[in-house]
Amino acid sequence: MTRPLRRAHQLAWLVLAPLIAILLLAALWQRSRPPAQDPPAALQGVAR
Amino acid sequence: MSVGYQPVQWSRHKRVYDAVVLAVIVAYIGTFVAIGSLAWRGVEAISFPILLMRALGSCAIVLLHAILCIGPLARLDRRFLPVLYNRRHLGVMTFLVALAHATVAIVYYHAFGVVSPLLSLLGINQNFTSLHAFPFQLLGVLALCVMFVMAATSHDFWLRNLGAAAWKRIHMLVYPAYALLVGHVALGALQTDRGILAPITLIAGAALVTALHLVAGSREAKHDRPAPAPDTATDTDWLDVGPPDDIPDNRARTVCAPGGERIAVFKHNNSISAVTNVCAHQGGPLGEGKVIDGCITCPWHGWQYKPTDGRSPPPFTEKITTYRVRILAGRVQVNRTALPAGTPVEPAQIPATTSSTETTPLAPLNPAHNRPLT
Repeated sequence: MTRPLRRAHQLAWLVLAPLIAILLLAALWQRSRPPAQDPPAALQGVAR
Repeated sequence: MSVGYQPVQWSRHKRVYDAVVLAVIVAYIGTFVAIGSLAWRGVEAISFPILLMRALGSCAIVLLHAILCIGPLARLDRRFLPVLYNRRHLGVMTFLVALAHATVAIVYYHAFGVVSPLLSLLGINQNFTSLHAFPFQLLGVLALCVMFVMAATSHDFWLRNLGAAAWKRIHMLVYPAYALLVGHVALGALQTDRGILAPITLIAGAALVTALHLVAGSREAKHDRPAPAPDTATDTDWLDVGPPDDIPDNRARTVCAPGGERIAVFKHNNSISAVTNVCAHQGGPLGEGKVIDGCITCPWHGWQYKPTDGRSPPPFTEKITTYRVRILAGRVQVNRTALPAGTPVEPAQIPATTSSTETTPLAPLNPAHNRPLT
């Protein structure tokens, strides 16, 4: 590969590595939370 | 290479490769469906379309992980080079499996209502600020679009017409596509499937792919450090390669010109020749190849060039840049100025004892071509 392409590869993974790590951590954090329970529509109406 | 045009350049080797990959894919999907229907029973039973969708989706992402590991593994260890040979076939198959996954998902979840399936898929869920209800399907669709572009251009026709650099840039889109797919799985399947196997597998796969690319990239960056000028050089146009004995027979040693490309310096028939390290096909690292049948052979796809003039053997017409070489004070030196592609250069003959201070100057055979590239 040419030098510019090699640099583009290296740069791409320097950007993607933390991005993927943050994405996975966020997804795991969300997964560990208890499932959200939306109040029934009737109750929402009462709350308003 | 350059002779004739065929829609698909089949060979026996490629047919066998494709048949094996297809058999593995079918076996994976069959095994997944069989185990899934046994594991999820009773109240947790899953319908066949959903099992098939999960099998196809997980198969596509496993294949994509394999594809993404091949490149850096081949950079780190030559033993993985044969796997790289048919990587494009693997990529096209991955796209087809992903397309099948998307088709089953769209038909099952979005095709039976009054709303258009595409509108149902892309337009209804707009919870972009919620991790729990994020429209993960959109990430999958974007990744599939990228994979379509790559699969459609995975052919030498496009490689030739776009040029190796532009073609490679397009195919680097696989990296953002991979990030999109990780998001698609992490915000989709991982949020609904409460098992432990899926998250562990995804994290391990992402860690492996990322680590391999970072390690290979770091190693490449080290190789890009410029070669030192030889002690004996009176001008700075020559780069030191080292003693001829340091270059294995029919192999090369690569050096990097300051601000320039790598140069592959080959030892063959007790002589030294130098060409660019960049193959004319896909930019493969020629310096990691070897001389076979008198020709420098690219380790990626087997394209060949004669070491003395950088031209492919007839009937092929590709050519690469060459460099002048000499042996001075027992050390191989290469001129940093690239000659026009296909310029014949007399190889430097290795003396019986390389400790001699005698110079073996090697001018191009055709002085008319001896001008630097501009």
